[in-house]
Amino acid sequence: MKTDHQSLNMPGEEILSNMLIKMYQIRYFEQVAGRLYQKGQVKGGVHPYIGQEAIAVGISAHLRKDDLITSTHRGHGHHIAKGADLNRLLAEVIGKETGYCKGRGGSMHVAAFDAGSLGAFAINASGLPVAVGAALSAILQDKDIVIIAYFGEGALAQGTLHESLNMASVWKLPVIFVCENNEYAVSTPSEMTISYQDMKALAEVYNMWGEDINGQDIMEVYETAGRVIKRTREGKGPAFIHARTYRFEGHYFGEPQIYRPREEVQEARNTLDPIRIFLDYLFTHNLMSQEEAQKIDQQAQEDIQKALTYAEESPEPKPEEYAKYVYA
Amino acid sequence: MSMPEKTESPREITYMLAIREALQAEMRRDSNVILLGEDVVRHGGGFGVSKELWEEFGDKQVRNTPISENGFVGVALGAAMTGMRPVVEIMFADFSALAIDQICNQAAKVRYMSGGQTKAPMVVRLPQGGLSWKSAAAQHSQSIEAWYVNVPGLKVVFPSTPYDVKGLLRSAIRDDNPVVFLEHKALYGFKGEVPADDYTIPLGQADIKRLGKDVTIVASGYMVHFALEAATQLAEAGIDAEVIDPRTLKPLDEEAIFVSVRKTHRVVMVQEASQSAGVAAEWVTRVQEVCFDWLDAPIRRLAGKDVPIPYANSLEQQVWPRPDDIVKAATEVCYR
Amino acid sequence: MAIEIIMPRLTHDMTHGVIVRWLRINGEYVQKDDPLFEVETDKAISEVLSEDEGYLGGVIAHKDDEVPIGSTIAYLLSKGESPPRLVVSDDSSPPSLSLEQPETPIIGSKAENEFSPEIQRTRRLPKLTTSPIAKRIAKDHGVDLSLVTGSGPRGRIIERDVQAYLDQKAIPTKQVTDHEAYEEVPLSKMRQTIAARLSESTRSAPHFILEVDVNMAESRRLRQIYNDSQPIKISYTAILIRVVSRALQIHPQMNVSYQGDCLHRFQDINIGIAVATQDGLRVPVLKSVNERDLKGIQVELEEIVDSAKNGRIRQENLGGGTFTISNLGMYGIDRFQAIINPPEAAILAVGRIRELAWVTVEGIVQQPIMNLRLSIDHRALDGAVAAPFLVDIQKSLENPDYLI
Repeated sequence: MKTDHQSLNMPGEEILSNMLIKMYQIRYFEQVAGRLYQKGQVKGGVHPYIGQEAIAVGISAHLRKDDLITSTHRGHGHHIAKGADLNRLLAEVIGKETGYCKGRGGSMHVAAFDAGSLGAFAINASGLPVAVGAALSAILQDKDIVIIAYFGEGALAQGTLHESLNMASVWKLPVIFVCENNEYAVSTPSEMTISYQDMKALAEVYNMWGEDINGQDIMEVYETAGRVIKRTREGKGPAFIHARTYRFEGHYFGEPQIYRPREEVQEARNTLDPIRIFLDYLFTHNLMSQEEAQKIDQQAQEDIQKALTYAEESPEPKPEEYAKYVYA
Repeated sequence: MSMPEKTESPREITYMLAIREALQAEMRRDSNVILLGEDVVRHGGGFGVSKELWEEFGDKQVRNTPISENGFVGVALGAAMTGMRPVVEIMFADFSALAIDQICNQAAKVRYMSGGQTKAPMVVRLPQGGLSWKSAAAQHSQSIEAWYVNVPGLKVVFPSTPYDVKGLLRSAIRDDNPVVFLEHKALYGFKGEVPADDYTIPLGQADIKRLGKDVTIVASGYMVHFALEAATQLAEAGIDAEVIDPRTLKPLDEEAIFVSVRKTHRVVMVQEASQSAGVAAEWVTRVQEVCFDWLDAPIRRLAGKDVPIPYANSLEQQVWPRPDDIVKAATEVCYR
Repeated sequence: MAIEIIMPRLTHDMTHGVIVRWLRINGEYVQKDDPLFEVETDKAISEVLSEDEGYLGGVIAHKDDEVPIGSTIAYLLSKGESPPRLVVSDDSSPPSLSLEQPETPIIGSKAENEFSPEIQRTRRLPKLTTSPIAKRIAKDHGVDLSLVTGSGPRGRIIERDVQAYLDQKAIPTKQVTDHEAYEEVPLSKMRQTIAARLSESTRSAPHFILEVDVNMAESRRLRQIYNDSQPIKISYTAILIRVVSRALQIHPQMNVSYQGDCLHRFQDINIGIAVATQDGLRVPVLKSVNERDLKGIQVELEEIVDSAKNGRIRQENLGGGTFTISNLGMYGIDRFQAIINPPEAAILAVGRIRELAWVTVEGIVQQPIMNLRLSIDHRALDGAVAAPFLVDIQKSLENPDYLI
């Protein structure tokens, strides 16, 4: 369902440009990370967000600096959208001392606390109760922040998710659960392992506000997120947003992807690219010219290139400091 | 209000009341100290420890959780990472197995994985142990300190007296790291002297419960009391035992143990937990590494048997070390 | 039903046997009269044959283990049978074990520490150990551990053993008594050591004394002839050393040291000679004298006695003796009894040669007679063992062939 721009709160040019550049930054960041992985400079796995950019960017457009997010193993996109510094983020992905986590977390555990992230929790659903705890903390300290808890549909089977939904609801906490359903948990399609497909019904069961949206359409994400975040910030309780999306790369860069046909992936790249969809929207509604869009694209590429140079030239952590930061 | 007023002289109170007083004092001192757990409101938790706290501090600082151990420990972590100092009560230490992800994978590691950007100042209180002869059996009587001592990033405390538990809980709450705070449930009714004034006991500091010169007995939790009982019997036989209570299992005050061993030359370690890879094995290894040349005999290690704790009393009696076992071991290392 | 294989009594006075080696392996089927294992007693190595048939199993004693006679060392089992478990009736009693078939297998109830007899039996451990703290205290105080008796398991020297040794050595506190005016004479370290060692020796080793009078007529005559014919003048002491060393070769059981649960049989014959020096008694040692001839002995003897007397003797020449000779003849003493020099098991005290009326085949004649008094450590040696040794010495001196 295409959204009518008139019905929205008319995001201004700045917001639109910001969203576009963020999407490009995420796209290029992930591609660079992928290349680094192939070159062997990234040792661990990289789980790219390519194809899902609209969700994090659309939601983050409504977030304040002091709002918080919890992220997952596929967390670079969440962090860039929330405003993390690209240099320090890429430096962390290749394990340098200048990285956000001083080389101790890596891609799966990136964390940009100064940008309002509580970190990427690499174990399925492990970040959700933490998000609930941060929300509890917020109301106990009389703060009007909201917490966004990202997760994939693979977490819908995890007990911890249900515990978190339950507690958020029973305590009426300002946390918004965002399910990025990209149809595959590693190699397993969700129909195989999740007994329910109506995600909005899940929200009903847990007595919280629910939304089901097309995660590839950033304007739909933007519009929905605006309403839901406002509602939660006003103290009306938690919410559950189910965003249908698709990842264009494997679960991790370099995965053989024998579980889905190449045609399906190609079809998705052609028809479901959120950047393309956004550009179409912008051009159709004359909200941005092609040149402006290209400039933004260019800018994003430069930003990522700068980040790459920064990261590659940064020093490694000192081996003798391996035990630093264990205890406070 | 049944909480005793501050008096001039030290008072004798139970281990349980000592815990409650510590919680109360810290919650008064800092409104960010919150208590989360099952049945803590009005009911006082599983054992009555947190009675009367909700009446004083209300919903802002005392909250009942659903039966979601992993979930609510994670909630505590999220709160700890955002400015609160939560104390989480899990009803039985055995149930903490459900929360191993949040305690060991998350709370223990958030500081390190984030390169120091955050910290997790939280306390997870776990009532553990058997010896109360209430036949709680295999899933409600375990001693599980070894599960946590092994995990880098955690601190593990196991006090044995009212004085120790009160001072250590206050320090644990003030510590900026995740602390697994073990309480021995069979000691909840145990009375001991507690000073009238505010005091804390630092983590990582052992206590000499009895000075001696012939043999060192290292014990924790309920075993401290068995060791003291054994020491009385040993004294009658002319063996003067020194009893060391580590109090904090991680980080371990190994130097206190070494000083004792260099004096006595003979060592017996006692743990209630089942033997394999228990904390006593860690103590033995450290002593052997550093004090080898001071040893007059191989180090003895007494522990619970490697069996799930049985229900029938006659079987239960076989599981844990008793004072007689400690006396025998100490006598043997003294070659008497 | 499991058949016990026991350590058999092979000789009359056998109390223990050492397993030299097993001739069959665990699990092997053994027939009656098959050779099972070899045992060493103090006399010889014997082969023990199987008295029954069955599968060898439950082997408790292994190569080099010393086992009391009558105790079980293994079993002959039926096919698929497990060996019985040993149950100790009383921890403090020496190995007298009763056997008990377990009703159900007992998991994790293996003997847990060194104090259980099963471990004591099966562990192949060095015979003499010392606890680390005992070693350290001994080192700090310069205690020779070979002088200390171990009271721990398997003769282990433990802290209190070294402490007891040191307590003996400790200078007794000055007693302020009401007695005649005296001048305090400090004792040298050496004197104190002598005092301690000899006290210890007297205290722990039961001294048993044997004595012979030796007719030195032939020896004296041949010595005269020998000394007249070549430049190196042989002393009586050298003769004694030679004679004693040969006697020790023939009677190696005299060349031992008592170690508590075993004897150390010395491989070399090193004879110490008690020498009076200005500092006190010293015992320089001639090493491996059995390889030396009379001349070589004399030369070395002169050298080390000399260096001992003027305090220039080297440390390496002062220890490692296996037998000591003490000669007070030159001081005019007829006979005396010497104190054994630990860790040795015997010492020979030599008196002066004196002219006595002596019964010979030719009637009562004046003969040069020398008294030899042998002190032995009765823990290690018996009179019956020492007597032939002493008599051999007497015979060699009276019918000398030592010059050859």
